[in-house]
Amino acid sequence: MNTALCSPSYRVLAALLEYPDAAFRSRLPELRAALAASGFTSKERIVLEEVCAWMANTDGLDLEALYVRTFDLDAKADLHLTSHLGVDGDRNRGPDLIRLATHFEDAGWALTTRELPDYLPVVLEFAATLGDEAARDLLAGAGEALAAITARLEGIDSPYLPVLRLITRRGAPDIPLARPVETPS
Amino acid sequence: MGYFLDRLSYFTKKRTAFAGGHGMLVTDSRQWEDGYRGRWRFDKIARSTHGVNCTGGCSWRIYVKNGLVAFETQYTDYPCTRPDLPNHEPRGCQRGASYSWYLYSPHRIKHPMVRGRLLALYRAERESGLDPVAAWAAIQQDPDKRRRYTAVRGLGGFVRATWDEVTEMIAAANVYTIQTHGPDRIIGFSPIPAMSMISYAAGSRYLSLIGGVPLSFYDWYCDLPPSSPQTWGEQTDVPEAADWYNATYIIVAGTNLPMTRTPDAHFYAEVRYKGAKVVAVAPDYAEYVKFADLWMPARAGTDAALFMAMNHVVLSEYYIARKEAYFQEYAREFTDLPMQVLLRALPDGCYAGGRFLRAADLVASLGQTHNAEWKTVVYDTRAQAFACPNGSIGFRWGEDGKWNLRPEDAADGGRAIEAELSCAGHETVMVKVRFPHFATGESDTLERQVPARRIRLADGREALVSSVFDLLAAQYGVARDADAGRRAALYDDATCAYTPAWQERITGVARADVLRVAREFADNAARTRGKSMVIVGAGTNHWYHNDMNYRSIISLLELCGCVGQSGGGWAHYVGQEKLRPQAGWAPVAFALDWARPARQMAGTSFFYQHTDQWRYEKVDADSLLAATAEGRYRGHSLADYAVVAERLGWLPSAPHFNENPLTVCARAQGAGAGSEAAVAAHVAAELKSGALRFASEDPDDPANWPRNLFVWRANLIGTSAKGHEYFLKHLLGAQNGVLGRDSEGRGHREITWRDEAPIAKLDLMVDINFRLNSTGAYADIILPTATWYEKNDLNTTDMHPFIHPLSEAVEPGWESRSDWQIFKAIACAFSELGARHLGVRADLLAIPLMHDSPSELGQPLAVRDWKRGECEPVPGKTMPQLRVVERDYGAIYQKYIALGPLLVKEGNGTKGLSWDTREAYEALGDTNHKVTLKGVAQGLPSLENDIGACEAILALAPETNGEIAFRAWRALEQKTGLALTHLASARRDDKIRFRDIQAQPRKIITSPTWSGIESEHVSYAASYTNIHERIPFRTLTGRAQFYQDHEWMRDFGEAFCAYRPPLDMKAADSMPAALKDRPHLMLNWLTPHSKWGIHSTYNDNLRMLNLFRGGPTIWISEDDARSIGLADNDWVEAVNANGATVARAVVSQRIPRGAALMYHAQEKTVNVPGSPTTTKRGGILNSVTRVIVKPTHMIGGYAHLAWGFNYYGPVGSQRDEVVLVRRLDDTEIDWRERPLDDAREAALDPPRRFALGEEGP
Repeated sequence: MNTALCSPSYRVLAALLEYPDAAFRSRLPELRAALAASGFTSKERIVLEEVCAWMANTDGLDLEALYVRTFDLDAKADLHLTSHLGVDGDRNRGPDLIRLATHFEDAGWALTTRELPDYLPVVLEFAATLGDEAARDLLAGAGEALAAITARLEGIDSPYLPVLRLITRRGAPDIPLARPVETPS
Repeated sequence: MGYFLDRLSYFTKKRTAFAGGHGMLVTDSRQWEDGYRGRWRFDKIARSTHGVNCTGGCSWRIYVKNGLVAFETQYTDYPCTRPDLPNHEPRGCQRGASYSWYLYSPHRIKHPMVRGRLLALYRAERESGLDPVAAWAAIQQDPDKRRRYTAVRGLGGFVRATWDEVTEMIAAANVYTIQTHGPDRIIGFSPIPAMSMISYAAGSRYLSLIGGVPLSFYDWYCDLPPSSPQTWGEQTDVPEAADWYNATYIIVAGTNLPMTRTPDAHFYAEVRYKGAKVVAVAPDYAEYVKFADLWMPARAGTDAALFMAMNHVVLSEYYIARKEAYFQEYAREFTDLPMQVLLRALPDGCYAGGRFLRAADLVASLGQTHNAEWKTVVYDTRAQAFACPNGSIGFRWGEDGKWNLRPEDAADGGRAIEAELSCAGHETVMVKVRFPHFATGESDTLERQVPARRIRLADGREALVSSVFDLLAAQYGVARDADAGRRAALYDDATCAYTPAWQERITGVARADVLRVAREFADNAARTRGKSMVIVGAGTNHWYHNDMNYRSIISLLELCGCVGQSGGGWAHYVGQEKLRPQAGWAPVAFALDWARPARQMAGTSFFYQHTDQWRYEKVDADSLLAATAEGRYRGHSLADYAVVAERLGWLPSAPHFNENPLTVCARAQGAGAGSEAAVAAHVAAELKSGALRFASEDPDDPANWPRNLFVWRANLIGTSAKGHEYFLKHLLGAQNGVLGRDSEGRGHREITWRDEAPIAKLDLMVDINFRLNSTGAYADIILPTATWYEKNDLNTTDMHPFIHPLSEAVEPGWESRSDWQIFKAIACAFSELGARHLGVRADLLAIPLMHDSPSELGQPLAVRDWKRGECEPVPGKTMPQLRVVERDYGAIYQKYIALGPLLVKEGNGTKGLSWDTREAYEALGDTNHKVTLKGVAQGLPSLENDIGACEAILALAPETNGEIAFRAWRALEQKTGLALTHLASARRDDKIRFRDIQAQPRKIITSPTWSGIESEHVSYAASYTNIHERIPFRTLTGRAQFYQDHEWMRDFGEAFCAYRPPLDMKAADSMPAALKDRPHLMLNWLTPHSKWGIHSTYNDNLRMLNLFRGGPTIWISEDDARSIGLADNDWVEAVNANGATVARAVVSQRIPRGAALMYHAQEKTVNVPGSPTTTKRGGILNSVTRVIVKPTHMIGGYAHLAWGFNYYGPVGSQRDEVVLVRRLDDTEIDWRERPLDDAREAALDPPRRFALGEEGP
């Protein structure tokens, strides 16, 4: 864990949402250890510990297949936030992505990935570099997209649901950790 | 003191109000404007286009910032047209403007993916210590392991994998297949190279190097009009859209120009303001009808009746009542109307049309010593004798200088002749001739009087001959005298076939309209020398008897002298086949720079056989025969005809034989066959003895299955799988909705019947795409490819004369790579395994008698079948050419990345021409750099990157390299004896390079690959050089042919065009009571193209989905809907024996009763629920279709009727189907989103109780 991060819990959340290939699975113990030291509430820790336990106890390829089915092949749970902005938002998607990338650059960070800047783990990792309030503001700004993804995970009863719910709640603390998030109509 | 110093010279106060108080100065911040300025500030703008199968071929500006695409707008910098002709731009429609959505969309394929169960099996075998090929073998040789992953195709279960791992798996599968079954079991499907030539060439180059098989697609799509090769020996050659503007009378039939030719439709709109009349033929009130002065609402599938009635009028009034001089001259010189035809005596004393009279039939062969059996004959009115004119196919091969359309006697020192159209008045006798007739409820022949001459043949026999014109006029029942009263009475005679009154009953179009349009069309053509045009499309061409529909239209155009004239002619716009730099592209695409010939296969016959659709065949081939047929193959099934065509060398075959071609070749060589000819003789003997059999004789034998399938740039399963459900069941072994019985087609003469139908023939299907569609969903491996803004490539279309690029605006997203790089990586992985497991091998290729090659002169006079003992099997004459190609399986990668030496050694060429290409080749070594890798490729021009491949094509093609164009014309000069280099001399020094077309689209250079010219004086018009330069059509007679004299054409009653009603496919004639007893409709299934998609592309694009109903729809007439209580937007199910599809109903006055219209290629991945009848997912438009082949399309080795890749062959029609349509309650809608369990996995087929023709539970 990079001790220079202002909000390391977001780094952990980002890592949890990455593709669970063999490399990911070998890092899982490190992730579980970090849960205690990364600024999660005890309730959050319990939830995330359950998720990690599920990952650890699931066959590797099954876990990968579930990830692909959930996030790669299901548009409704796509982890690219700007894909959830509806038809009107979609018209500005390219410019929005460019704006986000510029925002990261302005903050002094260069992207080293071929991922898009709106990929949730990318956004979470950026949040980890911010102070708590700024990080929460960032996620609050993505509230609509996060709610849409969470609602979909709810609908398919996904094991990833607690992670998304937790992230959504960071930006909208009035939403309870355990209650389903309403889909914006 | 003055005022001067009180006032400032250089300043005045800012005015706060001006313009009399209407203007006001404010000082608010204007920073907000920066938002808009920023929107238009980019790092760069790249030029690209959309490699989708679309005739638009529009050039687009791609705006890029920070390595991300923001959006695209239309480019408007096409080179200008000439004065008095509108420019091409703006080009680009709502679909293209939505493309950037795909780059970052949830549908984007971002990583290589493998079916998880397959990967688990493969890894387990690898971890047990097996080599990749042995690991693949271990899976394939264990039926349980194989079934584990094949049975869940289409049911998800993908995981990501690395490029190294997936390329290893693919290479292992290919090597195993080559070793075990043969390279001809590795198949590739990708359509329409013109749209992204390099991407197409990537896969086809790899396949060709290993001996795999690219499938033809244009015929499979049924976009190929067989009528065009039949008439002109030309695949499809059409005017560019700008030429519509030169027409003065246009009929549009079955092609929705504003909808599907959106960027070009403006010419259609504009020409009306110039005064052109526009007539629309359409069963529904389609968009293009709204442009028209007259709508002729002909019933779907009856176009031939309509146009033949017009032909009746034109023949009567412009050929008989008066002889229109321009038409007469045109018909004599450029059509087969004066060619002489032998009459064949029938048992009842009548006659039928026989074959063309040949020079060889007559005494001393009319002076012809070479190919006299391939030279047709006219009657010369000047010499009052039969003469053999220049230009027939016999002059094309083996001699120079007389293959031209000068009206000359080829024998008599080039003496000028005038070919006689009709011998009426000079006939020896009038005879009764029977013409095949197919109109429902009418006699099966038309008995007509024909004037004929009696002649003595070289063998001493007497024979009767008539001209094509005399036979044609008789078939149409035209009154041969000039009596106006009798003519008019005939027009009103509904009992006389082909009259305006007769067609009224069939088409529903008023006879007066037919009469008026026919007269106007011909009158306009006579006065403008051919500026009457017919624009046609899929609505007319996608029928089983599409060649009849089209030949009726072509006949009208030929009778009126419109073909080859600016502003006139036949404008067929279906499918995208104008790969302008074809001659430069073909060697790259089919690896002809390394080995010749390449293996290829006809898509339709392949899929008919290998998706087992033949097993369900209900159409009896005998029922299609003419009453006058000799019918030597009577009793053969449609699939049997395909077997005959393959063994006679007419159609290609792949897989070729029931054995690995490497084994067959090795056995021949082992038996002492040293040369290629000796190997061929050995194999021919094995085939004759029956020791070796064609694979098509037993397509269900596992030894004959195709094993690996690559699909790239395509959506084979989700769009173009006619008989979609059969693909799922037999080829893939997936969940399917086939409802009919697989034993309908059990009676065969040539094919071994197996009671158990094969399931899951394919070991491996690889899908390469940027978006996940239905093909990816059924694939085993999915590879992420670059989008159209992420790679460099070339694009051309028939609609405009330019060549322009796709450019890499941004790097390929995520882990994607360009197709060129993907196949390069596969080739690399393959070479490593190939060297170890295969080494250097000799491959035996069975190649059909190819069009545009000397082998198109197969059997001249009659069909002789070696298998029946009627002749000897002679490779390249009475059977396929049998060729040997050496394959160094360790050097596939090296060959892939370098332009091979055969281009220098054997030259390059196209359409039967060849020219020296050394200079262009050597220059490429400098432009592209030379390969440094040690081995066979070292020092050769590099094709390592996609721009290098583009440069190779541009340098080798006459269309983009003026010097090559000049040489190509010079080659044709020698063959024809005509002066032709003037067509390219003005641009001899032009060399179009990749960077040139990135700067601006470039107009191509005139080349003999095409029949029109690129000029500042006329727009591109097809057949222009045939008429204006007298280059022959590439047909038997060298002229446009009304008459098809091949034995099978005569057997099936299509020597002349005839009206044939839509075919009864019998797929909806035995529906179970569960369906029949509820309210339903029986509707003709029409599948035109939509406004919101280009095939399946854009149909899943959020921006386009949002413009209509957001999912699949079926359009139904208001009256039909009312009759079963159906309301707009209700769910409906369409069902027949082929399967079922579910969609929302659009109830519209636009649709005529009796038709269901489902727009083509709405994806089953978007909002498609389950079908209650099949209990499987609701399917696609092709879930209720089944492909069916037509024997006349299989004819080969016969001049223009000879196979060529996407030139001729069976076409996959799909508009004759009838479906049962019923309303579904919302309670019947099941989205089938449940976890996979054992019971569901086991239930591949629909529940038995729904199987058609069987008892209920």
